[in-house]
Amino acid sequence: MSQDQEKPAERRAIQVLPGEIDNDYIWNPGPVIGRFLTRLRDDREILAVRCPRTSRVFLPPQAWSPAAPVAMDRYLTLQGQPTLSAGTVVDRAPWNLPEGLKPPYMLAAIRFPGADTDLIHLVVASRAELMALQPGAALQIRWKEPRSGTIRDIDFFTPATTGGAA
Amino acid sequence: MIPARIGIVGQAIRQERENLDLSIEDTVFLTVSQALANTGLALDDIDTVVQAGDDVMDGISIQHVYTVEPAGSFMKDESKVERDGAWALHYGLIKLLSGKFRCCMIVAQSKATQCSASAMSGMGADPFYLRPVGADGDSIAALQAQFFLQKSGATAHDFAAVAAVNRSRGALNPRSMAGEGVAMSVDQALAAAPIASPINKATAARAGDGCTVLFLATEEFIRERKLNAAWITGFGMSSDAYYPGYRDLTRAPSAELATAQALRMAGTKIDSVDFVEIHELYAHQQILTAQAMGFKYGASALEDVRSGATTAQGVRPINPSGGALSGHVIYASGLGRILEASLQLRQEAGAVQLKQAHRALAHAQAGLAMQANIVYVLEA
Repeated sequence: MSQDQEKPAERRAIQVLPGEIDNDYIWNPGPVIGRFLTRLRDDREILAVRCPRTSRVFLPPQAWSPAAPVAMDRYLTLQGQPTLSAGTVVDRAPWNLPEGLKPPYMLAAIRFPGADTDLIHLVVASRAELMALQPGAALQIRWKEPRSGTIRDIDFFTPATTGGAA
Repeated sequence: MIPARIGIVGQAIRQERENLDLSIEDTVFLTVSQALANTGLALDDIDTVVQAGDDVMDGISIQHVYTVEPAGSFMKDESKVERDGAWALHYGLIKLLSGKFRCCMIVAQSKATQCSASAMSGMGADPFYLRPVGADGDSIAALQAQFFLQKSGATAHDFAAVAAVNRSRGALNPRSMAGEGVAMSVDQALAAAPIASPINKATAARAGDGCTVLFLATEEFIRERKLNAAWITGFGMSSDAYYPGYRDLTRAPSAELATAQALRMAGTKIDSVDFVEIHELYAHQQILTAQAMGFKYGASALEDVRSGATTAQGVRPINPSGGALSGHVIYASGLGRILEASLQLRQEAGAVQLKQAHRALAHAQAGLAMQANIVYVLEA
């Protein structure tokens, strides 16, 4: 037996090379998203912006209007009970599974009174409760403690227990 | 009007659920070689090459520098689009319209088994608002489907019907992805494993490994070589807002705009279109896009699904190829819709050939819940 004749198991062809990429990022939110996240963290406030051209109120805020080259820097605080516009019950965990959750949970479009757009966020409840939620259903915020200045400072929403105004 | 006649003259497609034997570069090399052989062209005939691929999926920065040689672009005019090959085709079309080139090759590839489709789309979610709440391609498309359910009166049964028709049709198409283009009943499609309600494994396209290659040429080149061409007579594209909560997810306004632009450029109307190929990464998006195009026979695009008008035997065939549900390679399956439409128009679609195929629309999408749409008018 020559030296390069090895056992079959050792001669198995290399088909894949496992690897991972680990890189640290620090992302700048800019002044508008930064202000929104700061208010969430420090004051538990829901800050939206109004487009000066169309008067539409955007939540979550961004610095520019989608429709026109104008800055959206008119802030307003939204209050009142958020409601469900639409939601999907997630069964297969995504790559970016939200911290602290496992399926089933709901990814939802949520409307605050005074806003003209939907906030995309999480609703957490039993599968039966999630499946029973209808568009327009009242939701309530579960705040995270302590908060750190991310969209998950609203930890998630739950179906409102009272059904009345918050 | 397009200022010069440009035609699609040849192609090759390769799609597999998983191929552990080939690298990305091998896959590109084999598909390009096959496309040249299929079309009777030599590498010297190609003046310019546009690639489509993704750095995140490949895990390599500026990934197309690794495929310059296998994609046949060594020492040629070459560039790359980080989006579906349907956008690379637009880039190639503009290059030919410049008058500087006569024949262009489009090469689109990815290998989902190297990087999960959820990671790929989840990294497309912004780090402030969407990524922390678990938004990825599936869940945002599912949210779009929920809005569409509310607005249109469609049910999960309608989505399952689209999946069953497309996948069963794909079973007849030798270019489909094995295991995806398979005969399926509506009940089987309804019973598939859930992903994010109402989307399940039957109504969602599964990303695999592969490559799509297409050749574009000027009329002069086509006449000289006596090639059979499908002519591009119009195109349009449009992008909606990034954040899904800012958009009207009950319809696809950017697909409406792209279709209107394309039809206007071609000087034709939707009622003169024989069939459409839609990039339906999820079954509901086929109905939503047909509605945005205005491609319908009965009262609505949804009614047409229920009446059978959208099957290959119907009066308004949609995805006679079997669609992306029968074979999806990220960044290549939108170009695949154009490939399938061009084969129909050249009467080269084989087992899935339609009787009436003179004018078609071919559509591709990009982004979360179809943020961006591109539509081509193709004619025999």
